[in-house]
Amino acid sequence: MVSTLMYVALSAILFVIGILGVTLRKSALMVFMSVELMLNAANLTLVAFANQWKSVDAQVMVFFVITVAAAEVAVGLALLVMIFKRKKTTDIDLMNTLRG
Amino acid sequence: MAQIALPGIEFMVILQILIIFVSATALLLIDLFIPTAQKRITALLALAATIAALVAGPFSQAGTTMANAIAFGPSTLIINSIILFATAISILFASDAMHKQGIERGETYVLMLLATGGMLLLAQGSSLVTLFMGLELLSIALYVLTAIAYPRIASEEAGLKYLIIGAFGAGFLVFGIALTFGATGSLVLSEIAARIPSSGIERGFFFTGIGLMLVGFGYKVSLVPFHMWTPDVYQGAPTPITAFMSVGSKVAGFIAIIALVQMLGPEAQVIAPVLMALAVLTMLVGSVVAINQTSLKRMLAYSSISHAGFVLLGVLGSTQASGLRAPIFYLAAYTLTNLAAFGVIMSLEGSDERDLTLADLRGLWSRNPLLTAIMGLALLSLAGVPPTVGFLGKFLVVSAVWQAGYGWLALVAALASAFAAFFYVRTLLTMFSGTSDEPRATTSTSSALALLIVAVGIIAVGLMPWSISALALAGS
Repeated sequence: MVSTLMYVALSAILFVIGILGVTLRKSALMVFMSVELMLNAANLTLVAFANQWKSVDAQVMVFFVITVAAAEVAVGLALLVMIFKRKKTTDIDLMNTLRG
Repeated sequence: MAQIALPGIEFMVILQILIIFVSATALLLIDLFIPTAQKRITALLALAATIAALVAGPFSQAGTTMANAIAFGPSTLIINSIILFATAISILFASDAMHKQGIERGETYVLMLLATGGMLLLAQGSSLVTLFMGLELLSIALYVLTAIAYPRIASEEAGLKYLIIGAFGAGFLVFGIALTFGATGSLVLSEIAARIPSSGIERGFFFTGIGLMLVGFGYKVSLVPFHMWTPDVYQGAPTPITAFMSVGSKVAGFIAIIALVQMLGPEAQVIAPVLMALAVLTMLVGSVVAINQTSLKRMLAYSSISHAGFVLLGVLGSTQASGLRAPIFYLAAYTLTNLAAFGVIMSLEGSDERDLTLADLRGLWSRNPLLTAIMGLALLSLAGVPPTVGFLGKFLVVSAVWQAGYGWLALVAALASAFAAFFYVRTLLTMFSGTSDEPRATTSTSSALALLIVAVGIIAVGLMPWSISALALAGS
């Protein structure tokens, strides 16, 4: 039996990798994938703790998170396709029409 | 493993949420049969739904439902009313501006209703699941709304930026929720409050979780240092949408932060230093950076960041005796004022996408005295000059932190107000100086009506003491 702490440690590592991906990657697609990684790291924690507390609440929460993540990516990809048609790039550093 | 039992639903508790979601879904269908040239009908139907939900407020029943996930009480009634009021005014603005700029689309109003539903869910949420769902519902609808002017590249880029930053914030929120659940074994706020661990690794998990959730909500209400998306998104989004999101998502986000702080009870002292640092940074950075802005929408974006700092001060004050009166009143004041300011900018915009700068306000007095008067009122209220509602809000917040024993924070607030007053007054003077060759600016009936309502609100709520005592009752 692997202890809950090990799961939490693993998800913390995944979460940090996700943060690094969002902050360092230039391609919007890679950024979306890194956000997914952050959310799924959180899901892993939720499931691990749900097992420890013998509670279904957190498992239901995981389904909500998965659904929301899917909706978010759907909107994100739609936006990205529209921008790509115009700018022929997915590099978020080049999306600098707005500047103060 | 425990059995899954479906919880009972008390429909009178979720009446307002129900009206908004049912009408949003119905409107999505009805909109199919409305010809493109008459999308104003969709706007009117959405407005009717919002007003119906507003009227349903007093008939809702206090209590909790759905296994303690959704609650309704006297203070929720006030917050829901603020949110629905902001939605109604924004729909009036949108039906005018979107038409003028040739980007009128039926789904705008459906998405506004869905975002409103998310805000109400956030305001009534008494479980971390509902808070998460409310926040995401509101955010995803707002990402699309930001990009709704879609042949315009600025709007699309703003939408994508908002989405990336918003999703990043959501990641922090969910991880925070997971850790908080791990430490307490519950997702319901009242149960978590009873089970805050007093020692051990669980306490570490718990406060890490609370901190991560604060980061998540901090992105939504644009606290410094989580504010960098705000100016770009406010500038890129169509102006009525900016008005809507600048008030709606801020009110809803702060209600969630207040719910977290209330949940902590006496343990809120642990995170008080973090809240103080965030409040000080947010007030000062927002006010100082705004001075450099020439774009009006960017200036108001930084101004809204600075106001978020003031609301956070109110939240800090609420950890002591004074209760929720100060932050809730400040949010109401901010809602009225910001709607007025963005409404005037929207009325001045032409049919193109050009962003208005400070220079465009020169000689506005000779072009349209009514708009000048309303903008002047809004600027005075943002600066916190009596007898406007903004003054009352600032007064309540500063006295709340003073009573809570954070005297130095009140001084920082005064300093930030002084910086902010500089650019508000500069904008005010610009409107009265010089003359303009441009034609007289006109406003349509719907936005003129909306502007008059908020302008009267700014003065009336600012002058009437009964509004304060009503809020005092609700906050206790």
